[in-house]
Amino acid sequence: MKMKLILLAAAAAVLAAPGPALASDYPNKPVRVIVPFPAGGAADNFARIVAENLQNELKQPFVVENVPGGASMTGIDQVVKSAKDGYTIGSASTGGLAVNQTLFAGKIPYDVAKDIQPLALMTITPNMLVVNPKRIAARNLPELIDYLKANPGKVTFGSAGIGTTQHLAGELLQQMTGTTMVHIPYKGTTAMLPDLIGGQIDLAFENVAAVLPHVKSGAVHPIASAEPKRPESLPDLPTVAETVPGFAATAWHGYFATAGIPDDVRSKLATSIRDFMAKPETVERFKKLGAIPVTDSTPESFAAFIAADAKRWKEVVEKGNIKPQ
Amino acid sequence: MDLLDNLALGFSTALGFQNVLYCFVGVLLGTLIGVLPGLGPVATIAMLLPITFGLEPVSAVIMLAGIYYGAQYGGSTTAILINLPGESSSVVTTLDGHQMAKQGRAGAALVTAAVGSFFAGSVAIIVLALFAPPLARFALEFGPPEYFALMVLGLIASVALASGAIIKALAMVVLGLLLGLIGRDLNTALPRMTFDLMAMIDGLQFVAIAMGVFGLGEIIRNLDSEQLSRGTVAKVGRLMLTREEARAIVKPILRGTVLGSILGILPGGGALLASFGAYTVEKKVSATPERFGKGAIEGVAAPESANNAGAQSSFIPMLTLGIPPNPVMALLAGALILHGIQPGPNVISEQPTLFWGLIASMWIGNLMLLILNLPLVGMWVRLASTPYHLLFPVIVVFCCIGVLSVNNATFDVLVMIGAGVIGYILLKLDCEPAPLLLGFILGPMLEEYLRRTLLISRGDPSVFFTRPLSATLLAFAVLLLVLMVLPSIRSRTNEALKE
Repeated sequence: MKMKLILLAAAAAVLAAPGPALASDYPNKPVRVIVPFPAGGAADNFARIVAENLQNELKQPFVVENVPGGASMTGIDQVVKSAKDGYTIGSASTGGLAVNQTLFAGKIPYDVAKDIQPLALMTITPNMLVVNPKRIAARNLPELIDYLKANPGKVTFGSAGIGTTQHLAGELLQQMTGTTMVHIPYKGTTAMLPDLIGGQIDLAFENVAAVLPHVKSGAVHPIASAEPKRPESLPDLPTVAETVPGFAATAWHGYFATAGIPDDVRSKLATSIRDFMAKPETVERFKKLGAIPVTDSTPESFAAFIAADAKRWKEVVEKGNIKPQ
Repeated sequence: MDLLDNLALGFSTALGFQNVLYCFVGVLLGTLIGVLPGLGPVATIAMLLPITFGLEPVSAVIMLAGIYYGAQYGGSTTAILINLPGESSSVVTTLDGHQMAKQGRAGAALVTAAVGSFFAGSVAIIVLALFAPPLARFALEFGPPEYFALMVLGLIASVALASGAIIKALAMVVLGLLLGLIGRDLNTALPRMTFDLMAMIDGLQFVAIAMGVFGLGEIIRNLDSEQLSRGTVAKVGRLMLTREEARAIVKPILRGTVLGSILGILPGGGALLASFGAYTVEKKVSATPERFGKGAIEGVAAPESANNAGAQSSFIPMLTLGIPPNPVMALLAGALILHGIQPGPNVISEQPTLFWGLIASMWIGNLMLLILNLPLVGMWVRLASTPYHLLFPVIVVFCCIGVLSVNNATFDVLVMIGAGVIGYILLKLDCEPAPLLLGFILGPMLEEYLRRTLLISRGDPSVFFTRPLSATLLAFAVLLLVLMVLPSIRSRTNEALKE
């Protein structure tokens, strides 16, 4: 019995020993990929496409585990609390890495700035502002802003839930234009769309891929894109920023690991993801899914991007007083 | 003649060798996971999604859809034989189905479920083919006030599910409502009753509660009744329906089909409301409502028809509007997107092969399921009469796997165990778990739609009565309530509902 314990302790010591020896042949065993979203959705698709490539490239299985719930915090926390060896990585989006620290301040189990090692920004999923044409006569943003100013507190805007980019985009628009609307939160985009199309609510910022079929059918009318610049896929749609300078409400998805993984593991993963995102086939594949692939992300640029986004949403959340009390 | 051309196109697609094969694989898998407690179509489709990338979009969707409606057939098997609803829609089937099984009429119950499902499925597919676009537009008329009114009607009707005392059923509904309110409040993101546990921030998981109060609770009770050597089903009995039984199920199947086809197109709890709405209707129109809850064959026929009709008609909003009304449809929409097809109003015109091929395959799949399930009835019944000391550990293991597979959260397994203990206590107190589960599902929706209605109307409750659809539904709810509480009727109902 004693012997067994000693052996176990020795084995544990060997396994726990950090060092370049372990890292240089990374990966030499399967890697867990935690996706904090349910299987089958857009966020899951993005993560799986990249995980599949990592598996082909680095010759080890990259096993995707969906850990949805808790506004992404449950899944992200599993990555944060894993061993600092790079054998557990995760994907996350705007909410998990840039909004929760403000929205759930004091309750969030990790510190994004200290506990997260960003690897690469994968993709941006643009939002656009659409109105129900039967309820709102405005057909462009200046008209809409005039209408909002003339009817304070009368117009309703739907969102995929508190703290989603769709919600924050609506808050930001109100704050920057000095208008007031009534926010109607839903459990996700698919719950919100019927009410927008059916004319129960007036307008919404929503994911372009999700609303485009309804724009084509005429059920909703496009007003503006929420991206800072006109997306390549929508060259004729003005941006909100063209009328309200400085407006940007970007939804994005990226890969991260827990802070403190060996440097060479970090660069191996980051480079592999970025090189894959830059391939023309990948670019085409992501465009087909309605996303804008990011082809030049590095851990440093992704970290700076997260910090800037987190700062912007902190101001919006605090100014709009949306934090749960 | 357009319809005939379209159907010809559909059948020529669906009858291709590859598509028939994938349809068969889908319905077979669906039946199996439906029978296994806990494993549901959501987890299965999610796991199989990556495998379908290499297939033609039509074949992929045909197979995934087969898993979904196949699970509706399979789910009733477990509900009837071991009183374990694998899905919310089979909760109601346990009420009379399991009682029938205990009386040695398991075969009749299973045959009724299969025949009812097949008939309802076939009708709903015709509805889908003929009226998909107008029906989808009708669903859009349902705003928050209408859903609220529908939920109120549903909650009041749920009391009728109880075969015991009304007061206990009410208590169970309220307990369910409270449990359902755990988690983050939708309108403020404020966590409620979570004890600051991250794992509870999204509330308790339905499958964990259902497996716990029904499955584990029942197992503990069976174990303490010291009949370990016996299976749950004492006598196998005859497998086919008697002539009286066959006559008794015709009308319930028709009524269930109509209700299911209509309610299935509503996003949210449509299919679920359909199944227990159908049950309530049968109990109300029956000349002998006291038989319900004690093995009334109508109580199996109507909800089983309703839930399968609802399963087929829930494809309508997904295929015609691109709006998935339940998690399974959301996964199917995801599969289409991965194949480069954006579900939406243009699918029928731009992808006729896909739309009509899928519809034709659903009919073929339903036929396969009928042929597959009828001979299996004998096997399932014998399986359920295996000695209980062999059967229950297997059920417990599958329950754990099933619950874990939903969110990959071990906390959910703990919730299931806790719910099992509570379920056992409730059984001992003669409190039935079905109203609890319905309260658990409907409660959060009731709150969501009430608050959304009032947010949109800026706090003015009169919208509930000025909108014709919601006013009508609320009037029905009041009528039902009056029927239940009118003193003269109450004494009769109490008598009828008491064991």
